[in-house]
Amino acid sequence: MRLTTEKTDERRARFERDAMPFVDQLYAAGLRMTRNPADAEDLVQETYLKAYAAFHQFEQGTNLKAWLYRILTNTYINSYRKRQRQPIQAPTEEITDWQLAEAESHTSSGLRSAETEALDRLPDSDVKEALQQLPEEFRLAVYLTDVEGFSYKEVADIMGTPIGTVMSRLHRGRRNLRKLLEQYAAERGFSPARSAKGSTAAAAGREV
Amino acid sequence: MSCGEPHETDCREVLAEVYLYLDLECADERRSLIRHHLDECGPCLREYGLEQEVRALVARCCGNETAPDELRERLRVKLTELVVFETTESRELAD
Repeated sequence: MRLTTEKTDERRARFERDAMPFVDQLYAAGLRMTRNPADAEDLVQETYLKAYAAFHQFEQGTNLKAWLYRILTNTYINSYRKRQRQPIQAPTEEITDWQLAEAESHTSSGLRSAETEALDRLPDSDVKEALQQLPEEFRLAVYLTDVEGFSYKEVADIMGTPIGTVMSRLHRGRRNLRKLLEQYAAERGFSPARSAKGSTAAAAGREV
Repeated sequence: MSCGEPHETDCREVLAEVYLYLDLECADERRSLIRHHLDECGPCLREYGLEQEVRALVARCCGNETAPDELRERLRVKLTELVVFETTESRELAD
């Protein structure tokens, strides 16, 4: 067995070489989870120490990034979330919810390409703020998919949920996110269809 | 809901799968059906464009952070401290 006979310093070198390059990414994810730099640092530190202690269990050649994210997510859910005393959101989302979702804005008219440009003008801080507004499970699903590019299967493994739940969270998260972003764009006067957006923005405020 | 034009695949069906399409999670067959629909349906294409924009915005704005140097340094030190524990464990596994 190669792994079990690997010398400790060799394993540490391998860990540092393979796992440490993800520190910026894990820190960014930690920031989006905890919404606080000090907690994000602690979370990332705890994640790396756990990962190192369990590194002999990691199967070389499999997805190290996903493995690290799973430890990060578990650590966050099991300790930081409790410590932060945030209300735990009930798992209300069901696959049927996702399936039944209607493409409500399909019939709305107007220059959608101009709307796309309006969103594109939003400052980074608005986009971060909108993401932070999402309920935790939705926020994580959106983050892992959109920022990290994980597949639904990988997100399901990381979050410890069925794929259908990931899809549902992603669907609802993105819908809410888009409404918020459209609202921000309208508030900044970027939106070309400002008057038409009023009701949508109000709806977003209630829903999120 | 429909744009009024006849399509091989209904607009509603396409929009219900727009995230799957965007995330490259569609089976090849569905993918080409949806692509074909988007090619000929302006409203769906605009809708898709907006979803694509939101996804791109999140990717661009939310993941770009640099971990503090102190964190990296602290991790290096902590990992070194874990050597004793790791050595014991490795021996047990090797036996």
